[in-house]
Amino acid sequence: MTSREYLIHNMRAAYARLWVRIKGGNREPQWLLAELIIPIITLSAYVFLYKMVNAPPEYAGFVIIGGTMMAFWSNVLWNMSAQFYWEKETGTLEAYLVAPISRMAILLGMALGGFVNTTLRAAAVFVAGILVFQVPMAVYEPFTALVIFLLTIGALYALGMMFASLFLLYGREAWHTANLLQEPIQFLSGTYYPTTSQVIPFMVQLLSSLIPLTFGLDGIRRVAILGQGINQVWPNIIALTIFTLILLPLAKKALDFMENLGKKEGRLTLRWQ
Amino acid sequence: MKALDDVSIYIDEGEIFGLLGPNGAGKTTLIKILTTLLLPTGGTASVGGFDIVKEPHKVRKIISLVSGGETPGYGILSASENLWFFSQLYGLPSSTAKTEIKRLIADLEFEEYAKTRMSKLSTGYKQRLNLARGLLNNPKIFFLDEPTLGLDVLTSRKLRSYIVDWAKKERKGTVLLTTHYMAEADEMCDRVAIIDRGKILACDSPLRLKEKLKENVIMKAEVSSVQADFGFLDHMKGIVGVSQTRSIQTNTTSLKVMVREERTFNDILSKLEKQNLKILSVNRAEPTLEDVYISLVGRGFEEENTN
Amino acid sequence: MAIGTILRTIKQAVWLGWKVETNWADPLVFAIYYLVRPVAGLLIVGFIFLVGSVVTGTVDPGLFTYLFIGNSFFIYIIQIMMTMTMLIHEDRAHYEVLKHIYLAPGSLSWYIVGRALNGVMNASVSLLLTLGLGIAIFQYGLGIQIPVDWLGTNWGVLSLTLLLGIICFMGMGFILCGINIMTSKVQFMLTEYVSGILYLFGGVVFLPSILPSWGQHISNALPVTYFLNMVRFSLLHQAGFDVQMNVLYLTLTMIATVLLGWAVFKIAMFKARRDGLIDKKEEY
Repeated sequence: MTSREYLIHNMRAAYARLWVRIKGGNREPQWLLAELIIPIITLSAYVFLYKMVNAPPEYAGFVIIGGTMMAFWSNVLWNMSAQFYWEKETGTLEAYLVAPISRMAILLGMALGGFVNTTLRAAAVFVAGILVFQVPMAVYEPFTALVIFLLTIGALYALGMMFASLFLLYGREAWHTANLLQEPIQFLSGTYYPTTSQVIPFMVQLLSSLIPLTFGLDGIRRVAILGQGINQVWPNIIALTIFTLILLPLAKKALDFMENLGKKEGRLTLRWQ
Repeated sequence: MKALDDVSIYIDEGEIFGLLGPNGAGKTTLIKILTTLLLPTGGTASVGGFDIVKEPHKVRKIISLVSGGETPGYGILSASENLWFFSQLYGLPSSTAKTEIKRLIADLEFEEYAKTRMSKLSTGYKQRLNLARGLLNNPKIFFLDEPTLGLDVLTSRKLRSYIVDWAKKERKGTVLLTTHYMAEADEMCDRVAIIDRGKILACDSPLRLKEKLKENVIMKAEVSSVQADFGFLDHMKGIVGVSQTRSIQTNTTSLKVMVREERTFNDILSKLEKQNLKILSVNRAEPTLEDVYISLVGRGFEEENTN
Repeated sequence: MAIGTILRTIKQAVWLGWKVETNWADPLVFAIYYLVRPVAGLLIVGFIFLVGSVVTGTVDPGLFTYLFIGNSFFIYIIQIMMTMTMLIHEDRAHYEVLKHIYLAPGSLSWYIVGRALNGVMNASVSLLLTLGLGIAIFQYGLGIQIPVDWLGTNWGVLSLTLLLGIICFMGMGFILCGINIMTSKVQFMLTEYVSGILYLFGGVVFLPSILPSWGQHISNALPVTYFLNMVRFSLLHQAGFDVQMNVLYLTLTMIATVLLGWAVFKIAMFKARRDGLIDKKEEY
């Protein structure tokens, strides 16, 4: 098989997986509703908390943006990384592993399918949140905002691919680890508050700089709420690019390593671990 | 614990090869190794000329795996949608895939369920879907791991005859089939390897395996009790192997004994009568693959599975 | 049904819940798992409060304590609801044991109670660890005063509140269980919906008076509001707090949710038997 044929083959596989995600995701309308309503409820609690302490209105905007980006992180964790866990439990993982395709192609398909679904819903949450809480927006460089957004997504999905490798080998431990990665990531990345605030201890700021989401959130807030532009956010762009360039090859290595380990230990298709 | 111990087999191109053994014998482990899902701890194996450890990608291009009792796929998609999805994993262009899917659905007779969600299909139709999925890429080597597990008699028969037709007439492909149903191995396979506790005990065509038992006599007796004690058989000479099946519904036990001489069986009947057991029937049986297994291991599949 | 059977069923369910929840990891990893999420949750709301307060220049320890206690004790609601809603999915679709539990001599309801009690145990452990770490981080680490005399807790009021509250949340849990038995379409999102609404309107991290008036009416109707009010009173002994009224409201809402939970669950089980849902496997 030539490189071109190999690429086309894997793109077909990625497209098929994307198609399953989009088709399946939209066949249950109650999910659509849940993915709109549940985030708004949670975000509202934090917005009211800011109101209780008389914080300026842009802080409500921080919450809305944070919540919107969290939708992508949740999608990465549960609809991509943890997907191998579901596939293993239902027997589909075996079919993937026996097929002559790259694992990254499957994850790419999942990622893109999830991205399409999540973007639509996140956009709806974002708009609803801005309107309900009347957050003042100040977007002077929409292209810069888009670049930061796309780079953040790229880095997050690369991170998600790395986590997916855990699910190849483990069962419930990986599941619980993914569970564990929700609130701590929200805390460290400053999903609902700026990590640059003087209140945040230095150690926390240091740890948060290891998470791509921190840079993404900070960049988008600056550009969308605080009216800043490329001159202020170029460090965020560089950081996100570096994250993506490091995480993608790491993800491939992790997937290969975990798959081999799983094959050696006979845990690759073992259910109910 | 060794799942496989010094297993060495060679399967010819175009052959339907059966791996027959009780639960826990190592059949699925062997299939997983050959389909690149599991790494062996020692030895080598090649599938279609490709090394399973060093060239797994090349192996995957020419094989397919269908496991019984499992239906990979997405419950929320219809049968045909699932098949289209899997066709793309094998790189089939969409138009080719659609034609192939239509043909497979027709051949396996589930056209009326083609647009039904997979989660709503019965076990039998799910397995037909599973088989169709396995044939989408027209594999050179088809691995079937207990493909009729949990299926009713009619569906099992249909699937078996379809697989044989596919292998012998249509594709002339190679099939490795694992099963613990003797009749299935007998009906389908050109050659059968009997495996027990990770070891290959015998490997030959079903006919030749059974012929080897012609020197022995196989007798069956049915006694009217499920509590009959057959412990005395362990101490009797001249017994090659024993298999017993107890039926609580009919309160009977079927005893199948392989003996070197018919008079040994007469001794057995006397001992049973001394236990005041009513002997309902006695007849001579033709050797089956289970008898071959019994002759090699000394006990039957049912006892093995009970144990 | 004999008391012995009920107690045995509950005991087995508590044991099973403990095993299912814990046997995927060694004790240390498990302890970390049960600590990290609630503490991270507390840190999120704590830092939202602090970041917002610092901008205005005033950090109100009273409001912080309000949030601290509310967020910490909310763990009971989350843990009980999540245990009770997810067990239908796990036992029916994942482990496929629900029908066997249903057919066994002990009642399914008492089995669910036992599993919920296991959730209560886990929540209690999480709570103690969260309170301890929370105090260490916020009071001793960041210097935010939490004016609670922990040793001066009104144990009588606290015990009564926890008892009434846990029974009430179990009642809610049975409503969700019943819904999940009848349909698997909302199983994963049901807990999120309900706990989200309770979190928003239950006076957990902010005063209900911040809500619009319609929101305050909802808050006044929720048992969570009275539960947390009474917990705060048992720890803070605020003057002028009407204990009797809050106990009454909590008791009434508890009775209402228990009755509703019982009714919904009964209807669900009838429907499940009629429509063959007890061992129905949904795949997605």
